Parts: sequence; structure tokens; C-alpha cells
Amino acid sequence: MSKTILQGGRVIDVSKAKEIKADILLEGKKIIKISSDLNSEDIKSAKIIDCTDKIIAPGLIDMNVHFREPGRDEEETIKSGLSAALHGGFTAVVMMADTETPIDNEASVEFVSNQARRAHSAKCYPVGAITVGLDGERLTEMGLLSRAGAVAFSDADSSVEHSGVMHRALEYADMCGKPIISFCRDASMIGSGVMAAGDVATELGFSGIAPLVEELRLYRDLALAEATGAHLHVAGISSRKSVELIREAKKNGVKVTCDVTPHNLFLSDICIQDFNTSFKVYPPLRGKEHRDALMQGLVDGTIDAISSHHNPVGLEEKQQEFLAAPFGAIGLESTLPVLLTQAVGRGKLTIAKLIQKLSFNPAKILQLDGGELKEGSVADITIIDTKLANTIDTDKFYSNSANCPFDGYHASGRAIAVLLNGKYISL
Amino acid sequence: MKWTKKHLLGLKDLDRNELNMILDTAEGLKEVSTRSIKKVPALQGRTVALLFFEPSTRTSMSFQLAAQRLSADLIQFNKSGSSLSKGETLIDTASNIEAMGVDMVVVRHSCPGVPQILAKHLNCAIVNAGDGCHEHPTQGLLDIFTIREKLGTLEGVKVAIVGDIRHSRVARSNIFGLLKLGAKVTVVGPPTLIPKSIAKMGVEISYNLDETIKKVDVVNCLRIQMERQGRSNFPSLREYALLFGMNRDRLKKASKNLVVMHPGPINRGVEMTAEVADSKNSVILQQVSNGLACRMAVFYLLNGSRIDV
Repeated sequence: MSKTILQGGRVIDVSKAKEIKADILLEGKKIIKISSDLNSEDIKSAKIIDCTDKIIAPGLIDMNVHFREPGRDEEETIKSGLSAALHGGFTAVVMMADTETPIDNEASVEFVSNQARRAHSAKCYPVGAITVGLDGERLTEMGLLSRAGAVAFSDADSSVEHSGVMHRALEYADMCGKPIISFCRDASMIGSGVMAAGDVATELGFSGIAPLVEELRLYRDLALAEATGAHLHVAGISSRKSVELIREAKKNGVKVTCDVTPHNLFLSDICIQDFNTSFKVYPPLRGKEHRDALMQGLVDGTIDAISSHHNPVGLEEKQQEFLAAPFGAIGLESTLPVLLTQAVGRGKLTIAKLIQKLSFNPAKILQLDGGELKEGSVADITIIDTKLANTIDTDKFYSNSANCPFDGYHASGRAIAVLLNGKYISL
Repeated sequence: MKWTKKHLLGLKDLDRNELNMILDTAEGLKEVSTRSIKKVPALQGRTVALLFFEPSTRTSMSFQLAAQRLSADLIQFNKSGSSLSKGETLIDTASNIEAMGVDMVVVRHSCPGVPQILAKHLNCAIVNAGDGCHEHPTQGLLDIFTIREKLGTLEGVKVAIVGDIRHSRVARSNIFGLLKLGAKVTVVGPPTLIPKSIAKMGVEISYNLDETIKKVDVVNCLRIQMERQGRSNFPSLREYALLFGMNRDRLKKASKNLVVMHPGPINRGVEMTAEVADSKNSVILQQVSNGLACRMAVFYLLNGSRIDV
């Protein structure tokens, strides 16, 4: 079998959240050795890839993406979505169940896996729906869905309204050893809100979405998680109070994890002043006090992961008036450059800590392979140049959609190559 | 001073001098409507298109007359029976109308920001005739014009705006304009109709009209739009009228020269009693006449800013 050496890179040891200078020897699909002095035997027979000054990270995992196949393929197929993932530096994604025909049965789970296999691209782990047809009432066959490959259960962007159903879902999913991913949103509190409540919304004449919409539901779900002892993963939090609630719950031993999106971290509701619908996202972009709290949550470990919530919306849909345009932003091809620039570049997170949030923790939360560079493990690796200047340009995206709020953003740093099952792919 | 703005999208975008310039121009043009031949040739050869995606009678009529008195040609588009029902987008519709050689587009739409979007996509001048709950700049101008006409100045004038502030574009445009010209504004209504963050715009908030009415020079009662009320922002019209309607008792508590305004159409018995609406304090019909003058002024100034090829 052919051998490859990634030579001279800054290898991320995620478990210790630090980087070490080492070479990585690969053979076939596997990592054979990580060492700062490989023997001459190894070096002689291997193909050398010079990685001087580059970050060698375990393959990045986006734990919350929406693709549109089957149903609205023109917005994103599994293939186009995975291609976007790969070019953004992600070797795996976790796909939500809210396709037009939801992933609520074994056949749908297998369909996703099969399409992903045929794409010969990044890996795709399906999430099964909590309820049939995302109706919030009838539980799916979680046992069978797990067996078919579902890695978690979630009704995606619709929160289960009925507390009794959510209670049973947590109990049942726990039996299957899978987390419930909850997108906290109390529908009765949203009204006709289209952006964050606050002075910007008031001035523009838009109904606001108060942080309470998220927090009220979070209170409930945390209480249910505590009562059942099941693993709750809260997707996409956006408010200061949510960070505090989760911090407190973790302290009290509740089995809860959570993630945040790059746009909720770095973009503010002021962006909406020009009525650009790319900034119409859910949860909505909020003010500085919330964004600072989210960053603090990342730093102190309250927030476990960063995920794009990649949500493709067609141009003709987004070109409508602000009220009529759907919520949603794509992020697979902007997440890493934006984070390298805004979080690492500005000294808020170390690169090792960032990789934890983008790889190690998602893998741990969902019990996926990868997330760590270990001898003997599958060689899914992301190679990052932290200095490379680049501009986010939706015209060059591999995604079928272009609704990226970071379009035009000047970043410093991006992925330059990935290894997928040991295969080197230059980006 | 020369007028430089291409569009009138909102009063937020105008500075004090620009506001005064429109008001002064309106004052001059008001006289035209008192002549026996009510027409001047200022916009001769220009075409104005009225795009109303939301029903309107008086604003639409006022804009029509304003354009006609300045000798502009006029075309009108209303949502019903248009190609929008065939799935054409807003920008398609507007671009098609512009392609017919229109110089100015007056647009009303239920979504905030539509005039801004049109301004970005079209070459002609855009006049906002009301965008959702965002702005209604010509209504703001005519309200301000009317106060200035009545009291001689806006500096230090205390204005109460009563009603559904949350959903009111009239309130927002009034607030932007009045504050820039030195007036003080208090918004009055139940908390469910007043977002707390409105205070950031620089206004006082009051939930008690009986207290506020004693201290103000002007009360502007907004129309309660039942279609915007969603689910129970207040319990009943009866209760609203009792707590926030202008009536004889409240008129008595107020200054003798209180100026009573309403953007129309009035729900008599809700926002104000008939007695108040028809009292000597009421300037509601002057507002309508002034609206015409203000809209003529806007057309006149925007036309002057055009660069002729």
C-alpha cells in the first residue's frame, strides 16, 4: 500500500487543545504514525507532502446542515452540499431531517447514505426526525432509524411543541443511545417576527423576535433533559441568557451540549438596515451583548461546537421582499475562513480550541469516527493555511445556493487541502 | 442651497436643512391649489408612476393630484389584476414599468424596505408612499408642515403621538422629522402597542393620556388599524376609546390652543369623538390640503435634482 507523509506541519492534538510539531505517516486509509522523528525507512518509501507552517487538523465536521434532496434539488442536492463541505474544509457533515419528504423512516435514512456514497465526497451522517412528518406528535421508529444509520434525532428547525411528546422522545432516544437535537423556539412567542427584537427592528418597522422565544423553550428542554437523564443537544443558540442557562445546567450535571453559528457570533442586526435578505436568518442576528456572551461561552466551554446550519434558499425566494423571503443562510464554504479571521486572528480562540469546536466535540457529541488524529484511525484530515488571504465569493461556491451573509468578506486563512479516507484532495 | 437627494425613501435620511427646504417649497406651492387654473408646468413631459401594492384611496389621490398640478403624465398600477398574480416578482414589475420611460416611481407596499430595494434596482427617482410599518415620509412632512403652519415653529413644540406606535409608519416618520426640527415627542398607548426600544429613537413613552394631554401643544391620534392588530394587542375598541381616545374631557384638560391631528380615515368614537374631530382645535382637513402641497414639493425638488442627458 502507498505511504504518504505530511511533513513539517503544526499538528493539532485536540484532546489537549494544543498544537505540536510532527510528521504524520499515512498508509492506505489509515494514520500509521505521528512522530517528530520518523525513521529513514518510512521517509524513503513514502510520498512527501510539505506542510511547513500549515495546520494539520482532524477532518472538520459540521454537525448541522440542511440539504434539499429529495424535493428541492435546485437549492442543494446531497452531492452539491457535500462538495461545498469539502471545499470549505469539512470531511463530514450531519444532515438534518427536514427535507421535503422528511427523514423519518429507515428507507429515507438509507437513501441519504446511498446518495452520499455515490457522491464520492465528504461523509454525510443523517439525523432522523423525532416525529413522523415532523408533525410534533407521533414518534418515529428511532430504534430502526438508529440501526439504519441515524446519528441523532431532531425535528430540525421546528421545535416539538408538545412537552409530553418531547419528554417521551428524550426517554426513547436515550434507550437508543442517541442525543435529541433541539432547536429551541416557542412558536407562540414569535408572532410575525422576522429579525431580532430591539431598536433596529423597531426603527425599521419589523416585528421582533425576542430572546425569550428561545429561552422559554430552552428552560423546558433543560428541565426535561434533567428529568430523563437523556442527552440534549441544543442547536444554534443566540442569546446571552441561553448561554447562562446552559452553563448552569452543565454545572448541575445535566447532560446537555450546544452549538452556535458563525453568523450569530459575528453579525449584528444592524446588517438588516439595507433590507438584504441574506441576513434574514433564524435564530436572528442579535446585538453586541449577546454576541459577546456567545464568544465567552465558546471560550469557557459552555458552547461545545460551531456549526454553519447551512440552509440553502433559492435566489428567487431570497429576492422577494424582506417579509416574504424565507429564513436561512448557507455557510459550509465560509465558516472556516470567517472563524480563522474573526476568532483565531483576533486572539479570541486558539487554533487548537477552534478545531475542538469544529471536529473533536461534534464527533464526541454524536459518537462519530474521527475528530482526533490518532495512530490507527482513518485518515480524514483538514490542512489549513491560517494566513492565506481570500475573499468569500458566492459566485465561486460549490453549493447550488448563494444565500451567504458573508459574501464579499475578506478573510485570512482557509483550508487548502483535505485527506478523505487517506486520499489527498487539493482545494 | 441646492437639493441633492435622488429619492425620498424616509425622513430618517433627511437633515434639518433638507426638511426645511421641502416645507418652504410646499409653502410656495400651496398657493397653486387656490388659483382658478390649478396647474403649473414644472413637471411637463415627465412621467410619474404610482405603484400601489397595498390599497389606498386618499394617499393615492393626493399623489395623483400633486403630479397633475405640476403637469406630469401619470400612470397607475394597483396590485389587483396585475401580473404579480402571475408570479412576477416585485423587481420584475417595477423594471417593466420603468422600461416604459418613467421618471419617478411612487411606491406603497406592505413590506418595509421595498422603496430601498427599488431604489437599488431602478434608475428612476423613488418616492416612498408608505412601506409596511417603517416609514411614510410624505405623511410625516404634511403633519410637520401643518404644525409649523399653525404654531409658527417646531422648536420646543411638544407633540403627543397616540395609538398603535408599534405598527405605525406615520409615527416613525413623524418622530424622525419632528426631532430633527427641535420638537419633543411623547408616544402614548398601551404597552402592547409601544415597543420599549422606541425610546432609543429619542421619544418619551407614556401609558397615560390624561397626564400627557395636559403637557402638550399637539396631539396626533393615529388610526387604529384593525387589520394590523393580530391577536389581541388590546382587549376591545371600547376600552381603547376610554383609555386612549380623544374626547371632550381630555380636550378640557389640555391647553386651550391644543392642535388636534389625525392622518385619517378617522374611526369616529375610537381614536376621537366626533365632537373633537369637528372642534376648532382640529386641523384634520388642513392636513389633507397640506398633503397635496407637500407631495408637490417632493416631486418638484426630486425633479430638479435629475441630471438631464
